[in-house]
Amino acid sequence: MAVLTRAPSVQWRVEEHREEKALEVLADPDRLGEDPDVMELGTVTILAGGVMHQLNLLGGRIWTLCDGTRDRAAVLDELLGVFEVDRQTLSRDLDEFLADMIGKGLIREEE
Amino acid sequence: MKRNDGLLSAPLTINWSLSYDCNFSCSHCYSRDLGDGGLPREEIFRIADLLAAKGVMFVNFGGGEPLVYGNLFDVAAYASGAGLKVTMNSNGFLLERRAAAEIARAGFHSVGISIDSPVREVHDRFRNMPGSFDRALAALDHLREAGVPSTVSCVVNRLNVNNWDGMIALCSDHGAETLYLHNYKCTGMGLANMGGLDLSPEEWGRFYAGALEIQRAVNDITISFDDPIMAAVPGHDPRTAVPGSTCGKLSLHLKPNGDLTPCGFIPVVIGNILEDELDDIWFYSPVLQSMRAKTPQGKCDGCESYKTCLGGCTARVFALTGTFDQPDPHCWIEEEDRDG
Ligand code: SF4
Repeated sequence: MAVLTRAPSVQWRVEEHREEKALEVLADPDRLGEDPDVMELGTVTILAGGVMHQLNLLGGRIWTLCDGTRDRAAVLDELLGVFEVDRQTLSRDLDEFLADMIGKGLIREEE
Repeated sequence: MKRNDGLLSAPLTINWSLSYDCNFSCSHCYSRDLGDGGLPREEIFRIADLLAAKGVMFVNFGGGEPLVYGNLFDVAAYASGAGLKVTMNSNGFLLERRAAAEIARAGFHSVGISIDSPVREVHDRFRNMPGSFDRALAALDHLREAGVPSTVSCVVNRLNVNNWDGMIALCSDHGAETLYLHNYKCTGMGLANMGGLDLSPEEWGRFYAGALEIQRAVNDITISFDDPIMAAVPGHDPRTAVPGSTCGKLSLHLKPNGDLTPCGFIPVVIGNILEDELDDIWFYSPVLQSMRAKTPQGKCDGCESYKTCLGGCTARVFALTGTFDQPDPHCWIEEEDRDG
């Protein structure tokens, strides 16, 4: 099993207030009108090599799930419990996100 | 009052002055005349726990000279044990071999040493301390020996503007990973001595244009800047984490008595970490809110760099104009040239 792990040298945290707000809107999309940008807010902040990255709700969820215990399929299963999106679409989003993060050296996929 | 959900949930960094005591009397010091008393150890530990619980990632000890503060290693070890990444800025004078070993043991993530000129006599004069240049270099060597990453901090001023690049070799030779070039702040002694030390706006413009070229050409160390007005250098994309100054958006300053200010150079108390809720201060402080929601004034209104620059360094603007919104006095952009 090729598990996904965050690069150990990276500092990161969950932006709890933003995540809470984004989850509220996810559960009740009518509230999106209150703050149209909320789903793009960074819910995870990453500091790597002096650069700050912000991940939106989906990216932030993937990031937190990459804790060295799950492979892609397991991460996808967890995401399907949070996001009401079909498996194929979510799988594509996951692959895109991982390609970007692996390319930046922020996530590793190792046997 | 509405919470600003665009803000991070808490500061990333707390710049923490455990004491303002210092063994130096530097020409640009912002804290020379600040004599706030410190807190007992237990209260300091309580603050470290609180910061960690709020998700603060970095604590950077300053002051004052952190190595003059008697409980530094205890506090640093406690804070790093609580999950905070601990760093400090030091003049290096007291950082001998044994102190470097203590620093390593206390779990410091890195240590910044202040060096303001590649020329021994100039640095010693600026810092008003004979021998300080050699001791600062020795401090870098001791840190390297102890396995603690180091950086060098340099305050750009009239005495080093023409040869600051000599610091690059000095950083490489002594194992410093990053050279931080700080803009000159006009607070405390920095205000009193600005006539002889600060550059004119045109000189700042020339300095940043040249320094960026050097930055691009240097590979073995990182050259880093902290001045939002660099957005006005033609062709420069600052790619900063937030527009304008980072204070009040990514960081806050903690005084020895637990009072919080937006940064060490803005002496406006916005609350006390032991008496007030950090969330209340962070999200609702009227001072922070006005720093974060600036209105362009004067030549900033209509400037194409405003989106990134936000009127420049808020601390310098506040020190020299008493407001947050006026254009940075270091800014070299001329309204007439811009419009023409
Ligand atoms: S005019 Fe104002 S916004 Fe434009 S570069 Fe100068 S300080 Fe920044």
